[in-house]
Amino acid sequence: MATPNVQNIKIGQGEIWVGGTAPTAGSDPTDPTAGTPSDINAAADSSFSAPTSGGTYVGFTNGPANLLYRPTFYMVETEQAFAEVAVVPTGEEASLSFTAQEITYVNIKSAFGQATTRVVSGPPAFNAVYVGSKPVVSTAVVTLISRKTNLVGYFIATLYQGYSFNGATIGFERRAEVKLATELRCLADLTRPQGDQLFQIVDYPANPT
Amino acid sequence: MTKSKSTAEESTEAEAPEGGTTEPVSEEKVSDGMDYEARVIEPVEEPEPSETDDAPVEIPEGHVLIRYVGPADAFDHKAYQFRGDKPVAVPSEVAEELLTYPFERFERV
Repeated sequence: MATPNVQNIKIGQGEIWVGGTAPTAGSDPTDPTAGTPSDINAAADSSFSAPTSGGTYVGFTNGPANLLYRPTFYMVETEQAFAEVAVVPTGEEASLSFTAQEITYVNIKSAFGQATTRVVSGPPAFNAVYVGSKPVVSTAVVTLISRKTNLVGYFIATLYQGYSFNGATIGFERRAEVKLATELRCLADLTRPQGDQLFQIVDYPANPT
Repeated sequence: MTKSKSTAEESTEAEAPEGGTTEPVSEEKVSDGMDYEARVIEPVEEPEPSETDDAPVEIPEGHVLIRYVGPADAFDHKAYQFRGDKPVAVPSEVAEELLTYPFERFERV
């Protein structure tokens, strides 16, 4: 009888970083594992303070961080079989959605998407976010690290080109904190091999040393 | 030039030579009817270097090159503007301020 492994049951939040540099793509344009395989992202140190891809930590979040992937297929149906007899992938979508509770200019820009940020050291010091008629879509590397339930090992997901798909609403309220609901959707990175153009997930069985 | 075989099928498009020909093909040469002439491609002269944003940053005495590597699209400190990852020459004392600036990130080039 097969033995299930309770260590594989995953409970725990995800820590998110926005920005940085994506891991280097593989050398074979048709296979991410062939030639010089695509680099994998990792936690930079044993304290899980940042991924090696870098970026800015999102901070406190509320609710689950959802990594969504959904492919679309064209299915060939025949009279001779009840189910489809052939399928061809025709599309796909991927996104990471989360709700940030730290209202920083970086998180505001991540949520809004079409925004430009400026920091001035002052005096007076301020952080500005400019929005409106920005013609260029800016993308960012988005990384999620989630430690395993027994704190030995972790998962790390890296989206290569995330952009804010839905914009955001900032609600100022007397009775509750501001929550920035953010959805970062993947743009296909055509410089990367086929099969590795949206994101990668890496399962590390051990913690970084 | 070929004539259309049916007046009802006159095309309004510009006439183009059809595949094949009504003239006997010479056994000695096959021509597609196009004229070619040899051209000498002159080497392209490289343009004179001009002052652009990619020009090396001059470093005055007592200054160091600092690059902003934080998350903002732009960072302004006193009279110094950091845009993208373009390095800026700043006095040494200003560099020390920037390298220890809280919540933002700079690096020496």
